[in-house]
Amino acid sequence: MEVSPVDVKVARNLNTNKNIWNTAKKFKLYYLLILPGFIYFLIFKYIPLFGVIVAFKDISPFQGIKDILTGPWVGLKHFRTFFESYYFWQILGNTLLISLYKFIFSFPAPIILALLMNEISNVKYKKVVQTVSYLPHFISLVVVAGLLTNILSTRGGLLNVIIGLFGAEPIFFLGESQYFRGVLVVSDIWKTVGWGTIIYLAAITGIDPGLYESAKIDGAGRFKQTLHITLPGIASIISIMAIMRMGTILDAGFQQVLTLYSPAVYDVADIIDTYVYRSGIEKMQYSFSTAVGLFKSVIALILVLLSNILAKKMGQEGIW
Amino acid sequence: MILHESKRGLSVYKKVISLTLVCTMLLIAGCSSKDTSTNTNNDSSKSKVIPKVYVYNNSGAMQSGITSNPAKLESIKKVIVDEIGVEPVIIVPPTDVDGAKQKLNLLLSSGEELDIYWGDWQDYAPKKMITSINDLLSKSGKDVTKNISADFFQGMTDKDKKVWGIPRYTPTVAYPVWIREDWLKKLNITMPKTIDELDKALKTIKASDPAGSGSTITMLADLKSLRYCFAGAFTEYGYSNFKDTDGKIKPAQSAPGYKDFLTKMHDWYAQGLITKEAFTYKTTQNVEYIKQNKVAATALWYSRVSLNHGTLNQNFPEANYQIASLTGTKGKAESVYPASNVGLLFSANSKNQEAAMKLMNWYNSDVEHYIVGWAGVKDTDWKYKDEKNHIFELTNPTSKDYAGELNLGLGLFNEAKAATYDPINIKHSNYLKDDILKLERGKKPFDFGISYDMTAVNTAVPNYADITKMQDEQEIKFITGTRPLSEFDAYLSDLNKAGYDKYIAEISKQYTSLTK
Repeated sequence: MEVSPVDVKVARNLNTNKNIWNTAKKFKLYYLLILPGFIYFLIFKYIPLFGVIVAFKDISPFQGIKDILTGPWVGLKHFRTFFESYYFWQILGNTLLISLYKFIFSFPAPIILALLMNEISNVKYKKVVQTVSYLPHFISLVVVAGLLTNILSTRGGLLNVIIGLFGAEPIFFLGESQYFRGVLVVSDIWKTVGWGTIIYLAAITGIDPGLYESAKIDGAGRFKQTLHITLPGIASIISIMAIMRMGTILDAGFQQVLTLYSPAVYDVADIIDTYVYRSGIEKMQYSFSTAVGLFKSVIALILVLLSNILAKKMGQEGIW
Repeated sequence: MILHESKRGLSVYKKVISLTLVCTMLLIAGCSSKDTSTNTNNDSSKSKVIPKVYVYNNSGAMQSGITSNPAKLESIKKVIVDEIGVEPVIIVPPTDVDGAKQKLNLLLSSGEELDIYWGDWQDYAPKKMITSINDLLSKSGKDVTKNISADFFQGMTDKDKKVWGIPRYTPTVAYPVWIREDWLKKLNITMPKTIDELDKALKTIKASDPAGSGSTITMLADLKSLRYCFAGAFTEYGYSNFKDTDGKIKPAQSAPGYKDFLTKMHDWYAQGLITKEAFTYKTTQNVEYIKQNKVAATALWYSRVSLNHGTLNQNFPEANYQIASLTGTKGKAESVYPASNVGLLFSANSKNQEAAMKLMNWYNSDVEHYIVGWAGVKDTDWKYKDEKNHIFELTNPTSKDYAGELNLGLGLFNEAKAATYDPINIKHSNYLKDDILKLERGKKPFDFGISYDMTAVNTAVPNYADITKMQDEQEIKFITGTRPLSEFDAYLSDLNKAGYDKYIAEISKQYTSLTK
């Protein structure tokens, strides 16, 4: 008896549905375990997505949900306001450049530190190094900004005192455009490098020690072992971390910039978030702020998709 | 064995279910909103309901960052409750201006209980976040209208004569140049009267380093203060809009002489007379340097010196800042600071608007009530030295028990009437009583008394924020020398690209219609 393709398809679907249901029944305890997390993401991540319509309306924050639902539609007005801003290209450029500098310098730093830490044989010393390198992560950015303001001050700041010992004039690091981005990147590295090593160190411990032994027998030194065993061993982690980093490329460190910048360095430091903070949040123009946030999210999504495709084409692991 | 396995499985099943239920309940508990307090007190008699008025005290009176001893605060509150049966509940803002604004926005958006707060009515009225108070004033605010003159209300009234809040500021001379007179005397320099004399005095001070060890700051300043302190010496109307030869109303940047003002500021900056980091300092840093006896001159908001002079004198009794009234080629250097649209606003969601107006009416019904809010309980925390002239002294001037949370009667209509001999605050009191309303010290704005509709401006110029950003950014660059002054005309042309010409068209239109 011939079975039509439609019947086969229906049977397959029924079979698949039966399989899903059976699987769910079989592993119901595990599904119950993830239920709170699922509810959390549903309530705090997916349901708020509905708020994106604020970007296409003119709402008053005061009116709450009512205004979100019934407020007037303005279409792409807020996006146009943003794109037509005189400073649009400047702030977009600043955002991308600061993110790029952080990616080039800040992203490899924990990898290099993890590789170096991996070479430390003295356990106690290694623990001390790890602890000291993690500590800046726990210092609030506001405190870091205060520390930097003092250290970089032209009036007796430590760095300018050292510069003065060499006979040079004090440098106004936080007020001169040519130095400001450097301050952002260096302070970001200092703050995040230790914490960032955790995941790479964990990945390194997962590499088969037998590979190192074989390499040693073949005459490879520590550097060659790092190059040919350790790095390829953690390449998949590096690739995943890089893709995830792409998703936040338009963030550029809002809090860090906000606490350190001033009008003197707007031309190199004003990023999308600080612009929106001044023009949007302070003036309670939440629709405008949401529109810019949506723009950022769309760009971030595109970058993540492209990075994932690129990673897979290069033979590395993607996120999905 | 099967029975044992199934019993074990059932036990695991029960544990997992319990764990899941507990986690879900914790999640829901964590998500639940805060209990907003009710407006009844907990008195068991329940016959007398004392309404609570929630006040976000972002007036700037609490910038010190400390809060009061709870018992002291309650004792002052009791005075108010006993007199008018209204209890003020103060929400303390963060110390920095940005943080205070952010917290206010969060309070407003989250629907937290909030009755009154300080702000610019033009920011909130178009969004229907505040109510006009004409009815409230006539019903419960008779002393407010009696105490506060119509001039003050100008900045808070729209073109339809709706009053949007209780005013705070009238036009003032709030940007004096304070100079250390004791240091001038030491260097045999008389108090400068002209920009050129100031120039010489600052150079002499810088060369002699009176604070010692190279720590002298010749002049502390910020951009806005430089504009209000000195632009008048170079332009006809100071830092103000003006009517150009083409009949249009234009901002100060387009005024003849404004470039000369920037040139002078640049000269001072290049010579180190304005501190190098002036444009990055926050208020707290400026205040610290003043208190540390390092600053020779200031071009800042008046209270940076007046409020901290007493503290400076505790460690340096000889320190004495005095005002330099300066003139330049175009006359008086200082510009009168116009009445702003900032005042005490009544939230549209307030449940106790009448009680809130009753509270403010109390502050304005007697200067003594203002003093209670400022200094504490009469005869406990302060007493009169001269009751007729409302001159008082603190019982314990160095006490930090009371931080001023209930200082809600702020505004020159009250501040100029009371004064204290308390050494910590006497400089501030005297400035408010004797100086701040002496508008003849400065140049009045061309459009004095005109209040522009900023909603209409923002509609005509959607990217108005770009203009103000460019003005601040580029003028700092001119002053610091990062951008050469030869590019000033290019700067004006860039302003036009940012919408400056549309802004000029809009304010010219409004000026014409408001002055018909």
